[in-house]
Amino acid sequence: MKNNLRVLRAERNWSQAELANRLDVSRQTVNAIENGKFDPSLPLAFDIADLFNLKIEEIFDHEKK
Amino acid sequence: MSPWKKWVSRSALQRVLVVLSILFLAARLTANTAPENISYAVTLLAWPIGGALVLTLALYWFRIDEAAREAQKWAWYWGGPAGFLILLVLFIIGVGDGLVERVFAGPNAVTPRLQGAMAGFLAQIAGFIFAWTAWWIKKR
Repeated sequence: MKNNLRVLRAERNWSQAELANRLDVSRQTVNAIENGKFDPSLPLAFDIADLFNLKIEEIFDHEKK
Repeated sequence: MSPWKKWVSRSALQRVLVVLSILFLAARLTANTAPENISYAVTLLAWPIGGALVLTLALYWFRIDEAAREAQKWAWYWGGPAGFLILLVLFIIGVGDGLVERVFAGPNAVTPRLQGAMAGFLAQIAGFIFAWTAWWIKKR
């Protein structure tokens, strides 16, 4: 699943480790999500959306097959 | 918070002491009835060590995030059986027996039955480690 997490993080000058810390996940998890290699669970997606004050669909783009 | 998580987080030391006491009691009871080829000390230590291992794994599981849990589940599902199947193939083509005997050789060699169980366990662990590493490399 595509997302603009990397851009949002860069806008705030946060490192992956810092974002991971705010979301209570590991840096590797943040990296995997940013690269579109791991889709977060619904609760984590809501946490990410809450952190950036956005809606889930403004961060994640579900490409229909 | 789930009941399990609550149980783990609330005064952990107290819980650990209770579990260890039960394990020591179980060890004391089973040590008296253990077969002759298994020493008293081994039986006495097996319970607390096994219990401590299970507790450590439980604590680890609740501390890791969802991606790490996904890696664990994926690796156990694919890696464990794959490792076991490879061992099975080695036995079928006739290499397995020699391999197991070589691994468990020595003055304190365990019974063939235990050797088989340990070989199966180690093969699954090896498969798990391979699959777990592959999962994280793939998700980088």
